[in-house]
Amino acid sequence: MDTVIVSSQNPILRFAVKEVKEKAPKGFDFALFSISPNYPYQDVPATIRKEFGSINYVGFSSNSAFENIRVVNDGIVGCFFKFSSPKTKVSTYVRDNVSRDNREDIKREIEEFLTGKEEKLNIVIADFIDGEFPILLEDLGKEFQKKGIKTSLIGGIIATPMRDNRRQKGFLFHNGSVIENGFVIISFSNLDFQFRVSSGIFKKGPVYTVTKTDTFKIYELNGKPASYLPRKLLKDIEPSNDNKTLLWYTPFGIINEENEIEALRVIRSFTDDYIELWGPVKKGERLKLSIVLSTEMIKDTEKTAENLKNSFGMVDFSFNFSCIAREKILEDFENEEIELYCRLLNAPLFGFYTHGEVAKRNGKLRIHNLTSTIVAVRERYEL
Amino acid sequence: MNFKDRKLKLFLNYIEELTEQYDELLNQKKELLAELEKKAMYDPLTGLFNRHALIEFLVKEIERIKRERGEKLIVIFLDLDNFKKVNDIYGHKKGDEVLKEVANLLKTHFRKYDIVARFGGDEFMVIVRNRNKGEIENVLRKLQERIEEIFKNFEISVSYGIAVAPDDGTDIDKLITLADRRMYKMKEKHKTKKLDK
Repeated sequence: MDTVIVSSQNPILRFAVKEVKEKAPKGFDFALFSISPNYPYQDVPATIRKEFGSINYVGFSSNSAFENIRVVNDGIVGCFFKFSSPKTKVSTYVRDNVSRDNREDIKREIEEFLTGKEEKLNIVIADFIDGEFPILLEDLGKEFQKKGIKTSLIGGIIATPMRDNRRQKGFLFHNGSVIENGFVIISFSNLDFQFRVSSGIFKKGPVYTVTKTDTFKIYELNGKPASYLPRKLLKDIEPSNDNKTLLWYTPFGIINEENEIEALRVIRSFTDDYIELWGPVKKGERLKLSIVLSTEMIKDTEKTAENLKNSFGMVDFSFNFSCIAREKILEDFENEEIELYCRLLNAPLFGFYTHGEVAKRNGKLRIHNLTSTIVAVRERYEL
Repeated sequence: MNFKDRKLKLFLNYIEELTEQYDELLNQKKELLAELEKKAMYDPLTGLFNRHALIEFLVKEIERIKRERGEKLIVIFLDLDNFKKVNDIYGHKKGDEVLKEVANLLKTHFRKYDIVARFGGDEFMVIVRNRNKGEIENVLRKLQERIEEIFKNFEISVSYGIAVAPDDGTDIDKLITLADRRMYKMKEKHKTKKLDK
């Protein structure tokens, strides 16, 4: 399998797509495009068609994407796959207009799509859909657990700019169509793969039980109003617009009975009544408040990549889904993380900063914040 | 305050919260240990001290009388007569009620600072300090009459034996065995008396 990742930061969509086309390899089988939300989304399918003709692709809005060792902001990054074996195929499940009302139907459809794909690499790229996708995914994870479904699902929620504490709408693009309020699952057959989830958070910390919650909002911790906690953490720190991102340094880990972290949650905002997180949390779940430092994050990334390489061996290509909060926390190490992955796995890398990562951790499929999921991929060759 | 300073302050606040949470956990641990210790010392049915606690008290008291010469310690072994019948005929629930009532009678007949314990089954023990044997025998006779009166319908009585330290020695096992043997003598007498009737 040959994978080529190229980019353009030309502010005109047509020129950017043209530049990407010029750099792209000939005769590829499948393409992924990360497209800045600054471009007019309505023009994306027609522009791709004009430059590339009829190709098999999935595109998505994203503030930034990874082109091997480089973080590309405000542009287009294209990832082109050319498979060596005719057995390697890509199939997609595309869903738009996801809402609470059709959640059960969609869960059933996903289950049907993934049936028989236990061995395949299933990548999910989704819009946040005002919180509906994280809820859907967490529900799906619970159902998979209950039914003993082992299928893997790895990916991320696309990150678009924030305005008035709300995320700007993101879009997905698939073979000439714009997908609104939706997600795409891309299933690759005939690929071997392994993945790891890296966080780098401190393992110790005070533990609280969620005693009152409403999906993303925690009203009570240990029976006390939850808002005391962020106030206490920000005590004697003068008010600033940066204080919300300051709380990204103190994430919550949802812990299981063995005190292992199942999922991480970052504080999004807080009021006098509640703490709002970037992922759902349920009543009765135990949260460990932790801290995170850029140096520890990088150390964990290195350890994770080394572990993955030692376990997997030769890598053709790698996917990386990293929380947008890491971009802030990593500060000067922002490029170092993907550089480490590329260097240690010795393979091209494509990925993007996310508003939630999808991966199994300690056996459970959940939405994560603040993690970096790295997937090592290799095509199965016939002797 | 730049971002770096605010981050540092955030971590200091985090450590403060961590310390407070750990203090709270330590307090909870202390309370839990005290509760467990209490549970380990008391008989759950009667609320009296259990066998383990009684032996511990006895060890300490024997050490004390060895130090403070002239002090005497009375060890009483009590066993209910005909108790098995209650369990067999009326069931264990009734049997438990009888044991609880006997425990209450023991508590009211002895002083607060005497050690009253359930030794096991329908056996009880009492450790009494600074009283003479004659006085204690009077108390035990009254207790015996009261038990016979309350449990007349069940024909329950109580047999007891007394050992006195240091007169009978200061070895704990020997003192208990002696009190137990004397209790049996009384039990035999009760049986003969009943047969004569």
